[in-house]
Amino acid sequence: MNFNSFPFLLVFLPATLLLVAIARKLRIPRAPQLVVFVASMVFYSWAKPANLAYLLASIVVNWQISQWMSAATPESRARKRLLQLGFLLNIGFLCVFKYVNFLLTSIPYFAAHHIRLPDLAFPLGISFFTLAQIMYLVDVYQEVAPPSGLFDHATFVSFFPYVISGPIAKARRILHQFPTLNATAGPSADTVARALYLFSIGLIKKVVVADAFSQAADFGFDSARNMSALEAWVFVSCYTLQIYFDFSGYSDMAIASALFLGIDIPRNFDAPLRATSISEFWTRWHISLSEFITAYLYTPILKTFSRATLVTSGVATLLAMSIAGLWHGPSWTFVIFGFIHGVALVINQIWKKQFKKKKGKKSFELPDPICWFLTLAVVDLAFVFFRAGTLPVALAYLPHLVSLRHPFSTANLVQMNGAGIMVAVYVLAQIAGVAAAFFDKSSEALAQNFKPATLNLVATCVFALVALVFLNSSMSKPFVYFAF
Amino acid sequence: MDNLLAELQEIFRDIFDDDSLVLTRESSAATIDDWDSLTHTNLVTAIEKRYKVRFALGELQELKNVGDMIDLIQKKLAAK
Repeated sequence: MNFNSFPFLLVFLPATLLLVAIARKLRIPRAPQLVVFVASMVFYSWAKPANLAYLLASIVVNWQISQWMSAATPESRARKRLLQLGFLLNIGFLCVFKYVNFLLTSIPYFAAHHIRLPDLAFPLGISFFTLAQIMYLVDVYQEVAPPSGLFDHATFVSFFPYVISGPIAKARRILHQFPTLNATAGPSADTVARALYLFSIGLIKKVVVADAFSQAADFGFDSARNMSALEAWVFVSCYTLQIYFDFSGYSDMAIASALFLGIDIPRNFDAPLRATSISEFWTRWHISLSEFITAYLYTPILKTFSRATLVTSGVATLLAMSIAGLWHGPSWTFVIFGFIHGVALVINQIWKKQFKKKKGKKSFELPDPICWFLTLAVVDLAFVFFRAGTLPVALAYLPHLVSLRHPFSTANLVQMNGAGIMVAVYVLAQIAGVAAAFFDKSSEALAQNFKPATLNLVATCVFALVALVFLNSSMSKPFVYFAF
Repeated sequence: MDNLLAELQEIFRDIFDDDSLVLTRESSAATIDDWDSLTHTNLVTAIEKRYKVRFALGELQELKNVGDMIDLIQKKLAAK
């Protein structure tokens, strides 16, 4: 079920909140949690009920491994073997659905003999909930988190705000809030108002702004002819803005949906397009994934080397970022997307060490606007591969970025928003989007500073109404990250 | 606690190669320029060696400043 759909907005969310409120009054232990769990099952199986079996299997298997692990002696070989079994099952589960055919077609012998598995449509959210399960097992293994009960674990993994597209949740950041979910009082009116405000921001980001940028990006990647360098950069920047508003809008709605129930999910975006270095970008973009990469991929890889030096750290960064790229989907374009970010991070680190302030000497630093521009250029370049889908399409796009033939021609830009009355709407939405992405506060900051005042009430109503009008049009598109 | 801070300051000075670095409980990646994932890993490894403790992967992200780090080390030393 999409957040930006009438069944979710008009039926699912209000009904869930109402039933949870009723359950709170019943004073039956954990009745609100049961409502949330059942609602999550309905939400998850909405598009394809058969998918539910995979989610439930993942929940039960990982829960069972965590129980066995906690029963085993700490530091014992059995405990380690159980963790390894958990890795094997989770990564194997992901591979069967997403990566086996990719690997087979990447190996010439298998490709030549057309040896492959039948193409299985992968269950929604598999990449997200599998990472959550892996983090849970590692935390139980390292005794940072206690093993959960089956009901708690099932509610945590399947929680409808994040099960399909994140933010990737950590058990120990969510489970301790279940008593609040089950409390008779429920969230305060202020919290509900803040959730409404954040949800309306997320909704308008997705259905108005992201979809307006997707109009331009789709034209650039699919229909533009004889693109100039300026146009090529504008179109890929439109895609960067599309995916930013699409995914951060989704995350805002996810965080708001949980907030309605009194559950706090950590933020996923923090105005990333204003970063002045690529390492800063990754502290602000898809934060839940970048935290996973740093803690559960980069650090263990780096620790396998005897010393953490600039070289070993570079190798660990390239490996971790390439794996993170592949996590997005079974295609070399995603691996290259991750690799480009890895290379940029390595250069960033070498640069910092090279020009580090030495005693008595002034450090050499580029002005912030240049740093910002370079960062955005790298982000754009990587997104060419992300958007292209296949390597030939990406490689055909790249020369346009450096084309010297009429580099400032704008013939394609004039057509990017189509024709007719919608042009003005797209242009307005795009201007608002650029202003919001580069100059205004992030939606997280806006929600944090939220006060139930008249201005915020008007803003919430306007955002929600405009978004609903757009939702009723045919231009509304599914979330980009649903594909992962 | 003051001892721990002073000892950590020595470790930080060594890793960051900066003898003038002064550490407080509030020091963090935001106040120390070169505190990135590489130096963080080196810091953690040095602390693990010095105090013979082990940090879990999931714990490292929770450390938002030196104060958190001191509290966690104390917790681990107390549990030994």
